[in-house]
Amino acid sequence: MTDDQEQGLINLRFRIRNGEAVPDDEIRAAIDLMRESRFAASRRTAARTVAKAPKHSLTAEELEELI
Amino acid sequence: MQPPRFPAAITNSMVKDFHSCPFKWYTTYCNRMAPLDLSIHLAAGGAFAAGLAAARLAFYEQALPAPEAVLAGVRALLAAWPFDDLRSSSRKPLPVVILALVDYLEQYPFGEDLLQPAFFHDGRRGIEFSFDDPLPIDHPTTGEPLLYFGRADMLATFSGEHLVITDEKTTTQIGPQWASRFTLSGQFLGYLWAIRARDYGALGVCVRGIGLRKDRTEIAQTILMPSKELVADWYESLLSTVKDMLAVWERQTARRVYADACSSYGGCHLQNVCYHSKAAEDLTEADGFTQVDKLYFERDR
Repeated sequence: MTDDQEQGLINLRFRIRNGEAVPDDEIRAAIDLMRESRFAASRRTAARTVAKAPKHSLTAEELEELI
Repeated sequence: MQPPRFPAAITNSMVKDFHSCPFKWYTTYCNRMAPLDLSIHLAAGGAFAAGLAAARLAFYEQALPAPEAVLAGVRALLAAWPFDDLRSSSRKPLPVVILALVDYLEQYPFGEDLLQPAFFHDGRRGIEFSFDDPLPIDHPTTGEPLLYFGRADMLATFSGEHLVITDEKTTTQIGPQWASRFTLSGQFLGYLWAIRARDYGALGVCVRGIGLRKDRTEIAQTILMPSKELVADWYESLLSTVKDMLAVWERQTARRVYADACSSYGGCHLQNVCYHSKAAEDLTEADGFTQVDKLYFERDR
């Protein structure tokens, strides 16, 4: 989540703790935002993992040498 | 500073702390010294449990539709979250805990979950229950029987017939050994001791683990079915431990154990105190501690 989105979540918490009747739609929207953010973060992680993977596998000759 | 008091009730956490380090037990439960900084692990687990209980009550007691019950759970979680900023909880961030609750209730939807809240003898739903049962050992000061206190998440039926105690446990990660740590857990043996003493004939304990990962929620489940003999043996061990606690209390001094407990679970909160050989009586807010009047399980009573 961006800093602004995180601050929005903290504000939501303050309002609930202060007894404000926060509409269901606002809570649903916050959940959707958190999900989207998590999905985007996991895609970035997956992309980094692929980028770090070895570019080439061993050739048959190299493998034979190792064995 | 108030003089030390022997606690009126014994809990499983107390037993664990006493076995790992009597100084930790004495300082925390007799001197009642609590760290000023909240533990993120306890806070995240507590907020998740508050959210789940609220969601269950909304669905089963108030008959709200499932989607609204989930929102009621998220509201309760937010209300229970103790940190005013997100930085304090970076190891278990608020969004991760909220999504874990939502994911959990998707994995185990209310109406379709094999676990359904049972009814207590008095007709109440078995959602969140606590007990404080007398032990045959008296309090050293008041002379009243010492109590054994515990609190579980749910008394439930499993597959519509078997009665089980259910407990959800949040954790950082669910590894391959996750389930095995509960086989001889005094916490659950104590729950069974208490619930069987109330004539519920519970078969065992269903533990559900919720791994709070930043990119996903891990969920696992294990069912424990300890024998009556095992529960009886746990009870004898409990009484023996309480007698050892009383012996420490009589001496008014507790030894420090310089071992695993100092560094496990991210490090004992008394690590710095022991490093500087400080006595519990000398701790001040400058050391990061405050003396509490009531221990965590005494506040709700």
